Amino acid sequence: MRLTLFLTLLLLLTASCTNQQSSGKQLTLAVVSGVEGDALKQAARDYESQTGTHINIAEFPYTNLFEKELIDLKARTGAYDLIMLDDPWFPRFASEQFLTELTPLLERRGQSGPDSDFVATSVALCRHPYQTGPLYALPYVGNSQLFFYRKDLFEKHSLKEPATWQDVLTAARTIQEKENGIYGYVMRAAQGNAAVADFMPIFWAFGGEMFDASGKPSVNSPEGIAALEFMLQLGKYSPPGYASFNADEVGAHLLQGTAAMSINWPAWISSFADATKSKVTGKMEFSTLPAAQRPGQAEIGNWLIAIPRDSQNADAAMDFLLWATSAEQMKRSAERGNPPTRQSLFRDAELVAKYPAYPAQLRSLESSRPRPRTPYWNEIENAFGIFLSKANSGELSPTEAMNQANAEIEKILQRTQATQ
Amino acid sequence: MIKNLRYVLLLPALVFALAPVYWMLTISLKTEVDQFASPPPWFVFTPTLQHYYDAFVTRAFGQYLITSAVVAVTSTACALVIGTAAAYGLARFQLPWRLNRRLSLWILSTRMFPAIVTAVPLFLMMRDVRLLNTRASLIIVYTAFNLPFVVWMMHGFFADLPRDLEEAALVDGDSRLGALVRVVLPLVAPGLAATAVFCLIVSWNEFLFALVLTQTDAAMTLPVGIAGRVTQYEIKWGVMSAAASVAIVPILVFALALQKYLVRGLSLGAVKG
Repeated sequence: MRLTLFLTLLLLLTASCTNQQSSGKQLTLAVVSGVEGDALKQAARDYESQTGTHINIAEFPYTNLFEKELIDLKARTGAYDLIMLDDPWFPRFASEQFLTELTPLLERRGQSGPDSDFVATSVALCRHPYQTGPLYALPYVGNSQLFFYRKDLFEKHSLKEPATWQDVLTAARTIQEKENGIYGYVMRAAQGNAAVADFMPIFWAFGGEMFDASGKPSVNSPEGIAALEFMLQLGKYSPPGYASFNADEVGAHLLQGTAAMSINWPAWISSFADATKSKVTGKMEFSTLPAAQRPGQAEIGNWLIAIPRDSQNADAAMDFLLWATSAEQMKRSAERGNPPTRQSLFRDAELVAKYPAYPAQLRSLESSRPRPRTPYWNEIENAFGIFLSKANSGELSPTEAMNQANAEIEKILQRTQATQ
Repeated sequence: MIKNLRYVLLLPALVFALAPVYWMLTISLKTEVDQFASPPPWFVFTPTLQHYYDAFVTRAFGQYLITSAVVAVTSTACALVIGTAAAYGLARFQLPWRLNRRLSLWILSTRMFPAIVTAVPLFLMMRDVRLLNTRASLIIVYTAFNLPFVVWMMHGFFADLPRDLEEAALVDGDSRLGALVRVVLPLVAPGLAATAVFCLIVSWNEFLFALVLTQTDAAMTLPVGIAGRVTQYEIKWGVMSAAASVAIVPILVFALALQKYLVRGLSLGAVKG
């Protein structure tokens, strides 16, 4: 009796061991959970049935994907043949030489470089150094921030379209005073990525720069402090507690119709047309970001696909990569809800009929800016976000917050330079 | 009167314990508009099964459920077999150099460092023996992490048991192992049940190692799958709640089935102190 029990256990153990993949023509692909990864998963299944190449999918939550990929790349497991990566991670991966250079693989296929149909700002992200260096990835999902506002409320109170941040402030004040239960603006200022993502477009429009020409941090410039002061003014028209909001709370307020304006990402657009998710169907308008001293610029946030240097199947991976980013396949990804990175698709009549915000998205993407390109962006964003959040919760004055943030960013740079 | 008062006191405790479960169940049945409505519709809303469909038909949560079950049950069984044997040895045999106490403490000490410390070494070891992304890797790790608990719990139960019973069996010609299986184990069954439930819950809920050691749907467990619904821009509360609501069922059923033993097992341990 106990022997049989023991034997069954042993059997179970060995049975689960044989789950290991056998060798053969196959690729392993690391994707992010969510609509971006879902589209690539679907594409992989189509590719499988067309070519017979078996594709294993490894799917991870956004918050874990970066560490997961970093561990695997550092340990040189060669576990992945293709990885999806968010563009701010790219400088880290590229500078540590974790990725395969794609140009030789392209040349072997008779192409001199990436297809010119890709949006220039998207391809620039895939080069290291930015814009000028060798190519290590191809852009797959073309997100960039948009300005969301309630068209119906703007018409009702005869407000003009929010072209500048001053217009936004005026509109926020008007709407909050005249409407019952609607906040003029909703922003997210939780520590970390949230606060920084909502602040950067204001910071850039006010003329702020994170690093000066010599590469020293300069967030506490007069322009930077003015931008943060403006953010706090706008915060007066944001729901209470916004200093701890993340994307989810912002989305909920907009969908429930309790806030009138916001900076947000294209992933939310489709929810506004769905009555099970939105109380304001057909009332939301999407435009490029407002200007101030300088024209408005959105943060770009593209999903790229790269081939790790330790992949044993770089050639097969490249075939899949080119196939998945071709106009035909990317159109299918777009139909599944992902903004493309090809100009032709943003202008595609069928897609524009389905996604009326595409023209605005293309304008936003073409004029967008990347987050500062540094391998240490994650640490810097984290530190910067803490001080922005503290300023928004009233713990620090704008000047103090920016001075302390500047000192902290300088420390991070010194520490990382010392270890290099 | 006293009895009624007892219920009055129990009621707030019950509400306190069950409110999160109620909230999770209702979220899993609400459309997004209702999930975020303020004030929330507590009792009256139009239920939808869409989130359950998304979780178990569109996505592979059914497969995660099977993986979780295989891993949790197998590792619990392994930990019980090995741990009970070890505990019996420590409780009944006098080892030289005060090893009984020293070994026990050594076993316990493996629980004293934070689990995250072992994550990367385990990852590298599993990579070298080519067990990454398999159920086996999780079974091995969970067994190892449950062992100290099993050894210490069962040690307490064995120490409580008078030796005379086994000795009677030995005198009657049974082997040591026979006496353990036929005489001792039935007597500590409540303890075994309590220990099993604990191991099962720990393995069922474990997140860190499941995340680090698995890479694809083939070996992914429920907690990792559920966490995967926190996407970059949105948190899919509906799907997460639907999957979590289903995930509590097996543990609930198992715990209810063993309830009779559980109360006895836990109080046995408590008296021992």
